[in-house]
Amino acid sequence: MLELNFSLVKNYLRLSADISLESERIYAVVGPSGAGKSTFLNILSGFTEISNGSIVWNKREISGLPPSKRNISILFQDNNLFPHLTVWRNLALAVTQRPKISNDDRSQLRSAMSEVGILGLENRKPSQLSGGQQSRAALARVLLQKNTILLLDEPFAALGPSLKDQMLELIKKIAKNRKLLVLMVTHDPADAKKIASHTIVVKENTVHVPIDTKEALEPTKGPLADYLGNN
Amino acid sequence: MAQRTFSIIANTLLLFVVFGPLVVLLFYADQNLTFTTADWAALKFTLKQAALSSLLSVLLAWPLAVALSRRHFIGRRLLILTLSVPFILPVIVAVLGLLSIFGNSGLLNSLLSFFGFPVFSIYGLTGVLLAHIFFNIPLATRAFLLAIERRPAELERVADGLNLNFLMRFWILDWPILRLVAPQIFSLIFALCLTSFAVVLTLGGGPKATTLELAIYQAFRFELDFGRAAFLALIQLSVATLACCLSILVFGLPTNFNKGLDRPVYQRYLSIRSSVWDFSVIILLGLFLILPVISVISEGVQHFYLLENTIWTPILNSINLALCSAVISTILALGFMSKWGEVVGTLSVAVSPLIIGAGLFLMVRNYTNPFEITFWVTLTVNSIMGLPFSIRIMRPASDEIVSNFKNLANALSMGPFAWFYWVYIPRLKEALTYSMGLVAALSMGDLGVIVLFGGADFETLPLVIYQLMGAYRTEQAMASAVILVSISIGIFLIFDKIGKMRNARA
Amino acid sequence: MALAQIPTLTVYAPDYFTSEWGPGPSIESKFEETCNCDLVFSAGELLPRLVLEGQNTRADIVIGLNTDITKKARELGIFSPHKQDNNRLKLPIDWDDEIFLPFDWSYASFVFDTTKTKPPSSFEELLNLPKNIKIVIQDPRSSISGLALILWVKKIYGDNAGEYWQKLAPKILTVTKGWSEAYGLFTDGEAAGVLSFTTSPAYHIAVEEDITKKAAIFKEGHYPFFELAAKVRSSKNEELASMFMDFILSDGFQNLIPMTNWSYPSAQTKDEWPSVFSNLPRPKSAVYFSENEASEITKQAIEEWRNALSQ
Repeated sequence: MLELNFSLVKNYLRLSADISLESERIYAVVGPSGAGKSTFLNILSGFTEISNGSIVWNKREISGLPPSKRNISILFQDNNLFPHLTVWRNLALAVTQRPKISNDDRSQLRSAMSEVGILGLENRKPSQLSGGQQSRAALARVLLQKNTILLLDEPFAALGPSLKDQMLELIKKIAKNRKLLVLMVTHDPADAKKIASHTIVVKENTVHVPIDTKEALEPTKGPLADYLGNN
Repeated sequence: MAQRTFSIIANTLLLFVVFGPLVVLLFYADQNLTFTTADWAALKFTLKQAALSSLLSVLLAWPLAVALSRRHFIGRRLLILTLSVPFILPVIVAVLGLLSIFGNSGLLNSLLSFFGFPVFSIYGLTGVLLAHIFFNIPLATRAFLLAIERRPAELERVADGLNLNFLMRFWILDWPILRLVAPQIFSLIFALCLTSFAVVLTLGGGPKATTLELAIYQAFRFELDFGRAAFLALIQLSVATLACCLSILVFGLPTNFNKGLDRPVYQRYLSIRSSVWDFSVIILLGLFLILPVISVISEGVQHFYLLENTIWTPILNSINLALCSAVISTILALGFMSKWGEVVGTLSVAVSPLIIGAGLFLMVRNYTNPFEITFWVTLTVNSIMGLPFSIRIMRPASDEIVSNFKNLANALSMGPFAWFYWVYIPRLKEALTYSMGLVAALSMGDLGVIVLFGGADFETLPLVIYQLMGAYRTEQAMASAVILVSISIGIFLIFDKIGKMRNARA
Repeated sequence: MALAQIPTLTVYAPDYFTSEWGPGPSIESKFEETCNCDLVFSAGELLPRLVLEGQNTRADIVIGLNTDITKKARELGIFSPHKQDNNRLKLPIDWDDEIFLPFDWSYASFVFDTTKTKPPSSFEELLNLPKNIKIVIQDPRSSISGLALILWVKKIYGDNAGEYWQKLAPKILTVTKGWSEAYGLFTDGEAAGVLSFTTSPAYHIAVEEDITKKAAIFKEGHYPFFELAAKVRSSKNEELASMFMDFILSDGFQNLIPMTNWSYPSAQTKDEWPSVFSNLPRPKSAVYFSENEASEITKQAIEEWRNALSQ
């Protein structure tokens, strides 16, 4: 269980939250642009510090911890892979920083690659991969970090509709297998409906309590009616 | 974190090596803190010529950089490379080259008098400024060019699409770059011109063009008043520091470009008027920068037969020195990858090399005979002199790498060594090799502190050139200068090639 | 070559001296023929080095000093007497200095390109050269030859020196940091005349077979220019150093000077000079300030010069 009770006031960034999130669930994070969705993710992952309050994961306070110690993985919109390193090396970095990769590591890497479906692409550089393959590789990298919370900041925005669907299915499957808590920022209500049971609305500098996705994304009545477009 | 530690070490080292000698010299002798009216006049003139030189260099370099970035033509790369040559030449050679074009009996005046126009005399403030911009426009142009090429292509497309007028274009496209680059370049050129000695004296025309450096030289060499020499050097340094801070204040904090999506540069629609302007700028400034160089080279090449075999040792010495200082300067620069880091690195150039040499001498003499370590002292000074250039080249790349990948590295919990090994250094490779190439080329042509410590044991090529000039052998000096330039350019090209090798990234 | 421990004689000299085109290498071989020692040159700024090194200096001999710093050097007590017989010197003035020994000399003079103008024969004639004929001089504050000119003019014109400078100012193309830059400008054709030495043309005649460059001999007399050597007081090689000082006035050394340093040898009469030197036009007389006179008058002379040229 992830308990958030914090506020952030810094320059032009403002955000406050007082919510609880269940593990083993997929949440969509939606809201108008500039409302603070990315900031929210940055706070959770540790790239932005809160002004006061707390972030508690399974009864452990993590708000003071650096990103590496938080049990949280994040997939950005871009720059998820080092362009000058091979896919293999990119993934390996999630497991070890040394040049030598042990046999154990090797099998871990292979199994992650298989889980996302990119076996055989080890020696390519990211620019030699298609958009979908890049996303999968990034996902594999994140999985190798073995964290239980996964944050997604619109990582599939540049993919075509069918590729995106494939990735979403993959996320759903992996989240279930590994019992992850997933927060996914998205602009597309269809994405949210597809995999997220609940939706967190970020609006007017506040992170609202999660509500049922169908309700949240009701075009005429829900909290995001304006955002979604009145009929 | 580790980079921060390295930064502290590097900064301390620099302060020790550059300001240490100054302090040591100040306290070595009786403090002679007199500042005469003649000194005051010298200071005023020094400031005037340095400020004007820097301003003009920056103002002229900008249109040239813009023109070069917009026009792609055959020989463009070669042109950009040749533009760097003035910088590499030993001062006396460059001055003679300039005079062969702009001097009283130079090409320009011959043409003018042929057509019946009055002859124009370069000697005076004009000559000083001309020489300084000759040396420094290439530097400023390079810096601007690098920055322009980093500008996201999308920005230009937006500006084109909006059909903005000249002023708005400038505000959106150009001003951010100027703000980013100009303060540092201005400060660097200012610091360089501050300690300029032979140029000012030779082209200044007379005692009206007296700089503080002359007073330092006099105090040091003739009056043996080291305290006074150090005191004047301190004033020189303070002035440079002030100028640095002022320019940063005026231009404000440098902006940071968001990374573009790396779409390829497209062929923009550019009006005929801008084409004419661009090519005029390129041709005029190009000629200004290249003709004197060609003159030097052609004269030198004619006298190649005069060169003797004994030139090999100085050549090898110079190459050795150049490569070592290139490496040291580049590595050291990694500790100055911040705004203030660049300021501090730049200031090292504003201390008179005489002072550094003498001060280091004093600092070292209780431990070893300084003359046994001529090579090391010269290496130190040359590396320090190369530092601002390394910083200027590497900083934009470094900033970009950090802003693009630090988050990812943190997300992967990469420690400092992993960061350096897997990400930072590999992605910095091109900038690193470019910096090494440039500093190596600079170091080839630099007399450094050899003048004080003597070259009997360690002769470099520039020293040989000066010796030749002092022995009536001007032609042989010119021939040697051509060798110097060729080697410098050669080294630079080799490093450039290395940087572009195995560059299979996206 | 025997591997026995032979003593080393360390000689400090300026860069031009030790360079392979200077007198250094020949002098070194010649001396090593008889001294059974290893002569080692060390180049660089002479006096500042000595002062900074203090008692720990390795130098046994310093060669290549000029008269502008003798007073200061004397006061510092760095050198010991040269113990040579000053009567052996063949200089245009009487030399009675016990510490500094001249090893060669020349006269300051303007050298002209005779294809552009006939060299003037007096200071006044210099003023009357055609308007397009310009000269290059050196700054007295950074160059010893420049300083020699200032003192020369001061000696000839006395209180009217300032006035003379004002009249000469328009003819001065530029003032350079040192002799090299000025002479470079001259040989490049930037100026028709340059402040140099009466012996400069010897190089052009002997090496380049060029007779177009001639020194202007002024009837008022010329200011002589001496290059000196001295023994360092703290030297540990007393015997060897003395041997070297003896060597300086010997023919072995003196014969090498003209064709390597392009100056007159200090201990030979003109009959002993190479013909290219004895054939050079020479001033009839020398005009000179003694060391004390020079030190008193230098500041003022430079100031007058500076004022006149700063108009």
